[in-house]
Amino acid sequence: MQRPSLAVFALLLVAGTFAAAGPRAALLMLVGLGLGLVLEGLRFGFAGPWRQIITERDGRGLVAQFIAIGLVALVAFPLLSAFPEELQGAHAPIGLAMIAAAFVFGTAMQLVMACGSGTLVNAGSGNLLALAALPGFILGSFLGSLHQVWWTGLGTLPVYTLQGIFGSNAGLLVTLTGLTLLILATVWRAAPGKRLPSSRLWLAAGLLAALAVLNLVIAGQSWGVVYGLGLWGAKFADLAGWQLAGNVFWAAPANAERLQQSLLTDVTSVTNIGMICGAFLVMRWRRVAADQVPALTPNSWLVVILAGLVLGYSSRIAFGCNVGAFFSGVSTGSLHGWAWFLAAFAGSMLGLRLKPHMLRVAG
Amino acid sequence: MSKNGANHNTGLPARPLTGFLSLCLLALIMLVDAAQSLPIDPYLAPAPLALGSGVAPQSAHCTNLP
Repeated sequence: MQRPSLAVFALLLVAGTFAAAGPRAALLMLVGLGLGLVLEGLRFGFAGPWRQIITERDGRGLVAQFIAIGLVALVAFPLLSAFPEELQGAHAPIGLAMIAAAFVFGTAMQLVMACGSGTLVNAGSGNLLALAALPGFILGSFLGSLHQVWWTGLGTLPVYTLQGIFGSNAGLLVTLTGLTLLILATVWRAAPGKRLPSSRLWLAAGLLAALAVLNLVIAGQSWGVVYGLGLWGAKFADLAGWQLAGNVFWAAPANAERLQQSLLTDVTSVTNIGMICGAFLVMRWRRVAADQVPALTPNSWLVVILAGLVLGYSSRIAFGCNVGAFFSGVSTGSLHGWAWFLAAFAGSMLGLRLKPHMLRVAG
Repeated sequence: MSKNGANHNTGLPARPLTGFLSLCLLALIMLVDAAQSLPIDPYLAPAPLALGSGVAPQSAHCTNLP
């Protein structure tokens, strides 16, 4: 595919979205494309840096994540405070099932070697592991939505936000202090020469933060991934005759409306589509495509497919993945974002121990 | 990479082919959506930006509990 045709593809995607669903959807498609371009083009990820700090004492990617979250928080906290009717942070409750699910997500994430956004971006960039995991991720998110209310009923606190506890300015200060402490801990843990982000990661963190803020301003809600995937699964189920109106989750007015309406009216679906296409464009733009992942044994492929299912299910129960719960949750003051990070990071440590036993290269 | 889009060293489909398959999966999802959803009413399209629109967001997000 020639480079000009890639630009035409992107233009057609945005113009087609505009014609079908209006200017907001088109703007969100642009944001989604931008996210895909940044994440794939500048090799900014979530699962990889977590693995790198644990196994290689390389903290550069993780520090970049914390910087990006802090940059979003600097803008999001004042905006959420000034426009509470129009803008909504990624706020969710902490609960027993939520913490356990975040732990499980972190474990599965290291087996698939991608989180929510990573699975979409990697699939778009031609990574076969991610494409194998994606259908399971969609199915898992849908199945998780069917059971989420039950899991949440096992024991859940009210929704706590840092701005709710301390006020907007002090809540922002607490968030930035927490992120600074995490950066210091990462730098302390990292090996010399692997402590501070490269210029590429600084650029990626800045662009990602700008796109996340744009997402908030355009959509009225924070950047998320998992809701859209669950909705995609629900669309298939609905078409197959599954009576979703009897389920508490899908009977809720906001979700029932999304189920009835086109995916192009769902903000998370639109940015998800944009991310996959953006990553595809970067992959095709490169003169030489990167190598495919190594061939795995049949059992290992089965592990990847099942891990995708677990990723989807657990992220639904945990109120999001690295994006919706961690990135957007922490940057908009949700206490559950911090709990999610701690649980998922612990799960990642287990996942990295399991990985050599569960994923084996063929031959 | 061979003419059929497979990597010589692994036998797996190369990245361009796999990326194309991802787009095919997206196209399938959009086809299912088109068959299952109501047509989009252009008169109900939201304002370009939520900020300043005076309208509450969709509340369809990973963090929302029904």
